[in-house]
Amino acid sequence: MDEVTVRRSMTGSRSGDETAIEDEDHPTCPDCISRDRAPDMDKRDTDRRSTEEDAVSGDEKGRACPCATCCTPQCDMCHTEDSARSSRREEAAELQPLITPPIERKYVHRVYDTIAPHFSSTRFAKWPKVAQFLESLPVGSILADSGCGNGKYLGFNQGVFHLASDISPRLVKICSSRGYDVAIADSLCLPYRDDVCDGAICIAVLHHMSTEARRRQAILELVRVLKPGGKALITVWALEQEDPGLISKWTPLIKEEQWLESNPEVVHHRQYLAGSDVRHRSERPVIAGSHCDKKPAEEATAAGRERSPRREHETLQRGSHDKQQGRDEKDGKEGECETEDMTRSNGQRSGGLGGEAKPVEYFVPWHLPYHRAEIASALSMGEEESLGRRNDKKGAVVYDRYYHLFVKGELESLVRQVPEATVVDSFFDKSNCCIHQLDEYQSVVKSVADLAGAKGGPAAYRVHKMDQVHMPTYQVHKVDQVQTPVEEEKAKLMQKWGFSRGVLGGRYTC
Amino acid sequence: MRLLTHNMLTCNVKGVTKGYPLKIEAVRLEKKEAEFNPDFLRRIFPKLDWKALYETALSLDLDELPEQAEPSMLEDEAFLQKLHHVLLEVNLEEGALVCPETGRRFPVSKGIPNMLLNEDEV
Repeated sequence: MDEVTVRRSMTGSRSGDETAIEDEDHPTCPDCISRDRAPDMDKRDTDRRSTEEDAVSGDEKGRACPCATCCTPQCDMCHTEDSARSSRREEAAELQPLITPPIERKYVHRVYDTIAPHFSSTRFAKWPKVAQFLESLPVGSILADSGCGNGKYLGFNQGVFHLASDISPRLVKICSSRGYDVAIADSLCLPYRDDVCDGAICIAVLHHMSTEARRRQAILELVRVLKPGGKALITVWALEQEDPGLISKWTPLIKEEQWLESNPEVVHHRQYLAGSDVRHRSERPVIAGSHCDKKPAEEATAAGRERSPRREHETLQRGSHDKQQGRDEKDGKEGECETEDMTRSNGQRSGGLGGEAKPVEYFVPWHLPYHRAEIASALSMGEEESLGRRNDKKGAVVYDRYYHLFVKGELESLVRQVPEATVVDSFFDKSNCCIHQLDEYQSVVKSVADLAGAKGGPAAYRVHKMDQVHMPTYQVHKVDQVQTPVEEEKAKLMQKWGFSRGVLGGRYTC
Repeated sequence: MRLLTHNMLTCNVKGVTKGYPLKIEAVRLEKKEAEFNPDFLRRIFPKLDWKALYETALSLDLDELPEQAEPSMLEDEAFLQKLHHVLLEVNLEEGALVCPETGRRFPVSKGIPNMLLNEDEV
């Protein structure tokens, strides 16, 4: 879990919307994407596009799912996919970061809507860094919780007024049933006026966004609603995990499996990334060596966006947020990308992540046990229409969730692209705390690796370790997803931290 | 949805410049008791758009609030009680929020406003 605390700077001109980042020389600004991509897309997709033009009536173009216009937040209409509309959406998503790409629509929004009650029943432990941040807000503060999920942080500081929102109607309904004011809204387009929040949190949300432009836009929105001098806390899943067994259970999007190859959302996403690779290197995922020479689309993608620690460290040292200097920094990065590309195309890899580039995009499974009530509709569906896959061995339907894991320094550099934001603190927490939380030392090692770059080493290491010693409760977060065989050890720790099986719903694994 | 939330909400459709405050089309309002916290109210007060709050309250037949409010009023317990009631106890359960510029309706169902936009609105 990579986390940064962002402070909105007190000075500087306010621009307020996405135009603020559309510098003419910005390497990945939304304008550039649309302008630069057009010729490529025309060439590649001429056939597909012309059939779609015929298939879609004029007034349907660019229209989203009908959910936004209907009156019920639990609308099932939003799950109906009209193929023509869907393909229009695909094209639009390539051009506009605010439009949800199909891969997120299906593998984030629909999945979370489907698993909402089960997901919520596993979400109660508060991460100490987040708790600390919330506690630091005085009475009468206004806090935006962007992507609030089941709202587990909403009642934490009773003196704070929350502006909570999530895109999943079913998760919002769960928050609402607990008495909180929550809106159904997109984190990339928050429905609040400018400068109203004293604080903002965006916990474990950005890694579900499939392009850099979208991840940046979400931060931009957080900063827009913050008053000058306000602070935001952002957390994301980190790529750097000590436990190699953990990520190996997930499916990299580049994996060549039939079900992935035939998945239109994945194919579209790959095409998008490959297309944007031509000019926009920062949109590319890192690809494992064994897959990088297979197909043209993948080859282009394989050029990778991994950042070596050396480079990240440099970025951190250039901690200036003066506009002109920020621009110079971007230019500098662009130059470095060129160099990396050349290196990469010669088949060499930087040794940034243990000597080998890792994929950054994954499908992370969610196991919804057969006995859950919400499973009934999934089981009655045919394979074609169902989101999930049956796994009789585990007695569960498996849902894939899209994740873009963050490499070291990526979150900070993303924040630095946002005008009016400065990184005031940055730390590395246990990778999503609890998936492999049992070995405390593993995550400490990780902390050293990250904090050494950010803060200069041993001191930060000790601080982080103390956190773990004194606040062990966060380590039991998300226990339902633990898939390790060490039940005994887990039970011992659970007992030590005062959690009973009853509290956790009787299951540690799924 | 409480009126304090409403005071912060705005129409976020692209190109809209006067999307605030959203007009409330109330089908059902509900009063839900909330804990009275004068300190909270005093600190929230400077963040409020008073004109929007006053007009919205008026449109819902809540005529307790004065048209103009000064920080000095925050020492007045009676004023704080009224403010508390309007901000935190009146809930819009069913209805809609309407953009003053475009007329775009954001439905509110079971107290939840749906602020999602269509793709041609972002």
